[in-house]
Amino acid sequence: MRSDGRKVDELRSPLKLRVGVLTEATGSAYLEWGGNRIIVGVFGPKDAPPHFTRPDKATLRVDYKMSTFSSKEEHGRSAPSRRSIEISKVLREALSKIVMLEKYPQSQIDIHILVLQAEGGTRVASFYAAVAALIAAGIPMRTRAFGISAGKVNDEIVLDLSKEEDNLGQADIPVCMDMDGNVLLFQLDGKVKPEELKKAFELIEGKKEFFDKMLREEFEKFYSQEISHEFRVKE
Amino acid sequence: MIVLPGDELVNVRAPRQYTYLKDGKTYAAVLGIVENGTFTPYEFVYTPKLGDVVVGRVIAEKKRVAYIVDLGAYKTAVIMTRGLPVKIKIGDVVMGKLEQSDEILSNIRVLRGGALIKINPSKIARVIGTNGSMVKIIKEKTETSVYVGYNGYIYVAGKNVSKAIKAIYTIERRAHIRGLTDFISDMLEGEKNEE
Repeated sequence: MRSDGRKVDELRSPLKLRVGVLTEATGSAYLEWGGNRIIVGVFGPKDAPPHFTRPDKATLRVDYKMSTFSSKEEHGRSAPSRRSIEISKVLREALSKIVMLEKYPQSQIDIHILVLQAEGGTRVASFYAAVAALIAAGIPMRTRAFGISAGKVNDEIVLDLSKEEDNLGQADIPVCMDMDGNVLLFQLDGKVKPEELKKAFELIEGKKEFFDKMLREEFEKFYSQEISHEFRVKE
Repeated sequence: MIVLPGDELVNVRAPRQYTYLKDGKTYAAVLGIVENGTFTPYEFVYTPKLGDVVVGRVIAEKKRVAYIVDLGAYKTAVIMTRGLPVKIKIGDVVMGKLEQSDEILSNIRVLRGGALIKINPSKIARVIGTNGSMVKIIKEKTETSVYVGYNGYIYVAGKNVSKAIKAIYTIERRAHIRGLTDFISDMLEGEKNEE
């Protein structure tokens, strides 16, 4: 039994995704996942200074940031912390596996992730929201992807750790995976046995269909609605 | 039917730019819709192509050799100063054709006395209409000149500029609706009677 009464592979609720929430961004997404509130804006591909770009593909920049009011711990500094630099890096590397960067040489794509409220598992939730924002931006991608964290709590492998389980549990395993089953991100904090890790990956792969369905449903809604541009008219 | 990146396209005509091949099969690379056996991207970033007529804004001058033009694309275009028949300065809106390469603009025309707007380049085909029918209606009903660039920038000058802009944004919003030409025609006609 888990501290909040969930089953082993039960996800936190609410789990809500919305795309196209920012009007000035090329693509955007907002995700509510348990206590997490994450907003993502994608800008570009745009022209970039030559020293910054590569001749064969676009440069992807990911900026993960926690708002000052996101959690009980202190996030009051405006400068990037050790933690946010790390998460920006791992997310950039995971996303550059599925984005077709070779389509836009000598340009730059910016992804800004802001965590409004945090309750464990923000890096995988940010990844999922970033994928949705990239699709909404119309940037070519090989496939969709999702992220979820597994972990070991009370000698049991569970899915989607909350903040309590993350801090007090024995292990935390955030994993990002694309829809073909390729692992894009895999981190491990704590100790697990090989067979337990196998179990964790089985649980994670079992949620693939669920996340894909959520993405598809949201984009069906997005497609059917009219876009509002009235504010853009400047006379 | 809605298509997400990574979905396989079977027996569907699709522009090669927004798809990719893997193991002899075609997959979609962007969000789009499949209707009557054709894949149409919902929204995309403009990629400069040879032969496109584009509208852009001059943003910088480069060592008196060239002007740099923003097209709203992932890269900028240039206007070579040498042999240029018109005078341009930074901030001007220009219309031209990507004739020699996908970066060099020629046949330059400076546009003045109007407003520049941007819509998604995927909706430009609807703004122009079949053989230019839609843009002709807007021009006639609002007494304006409308310059449409394939990159998504549109320049409107003339009498009822705000009315024309409103019509263009309506086209962008309702691009997927059938009978759009009649709808816009009625809309502009209705507003005329109100005045």
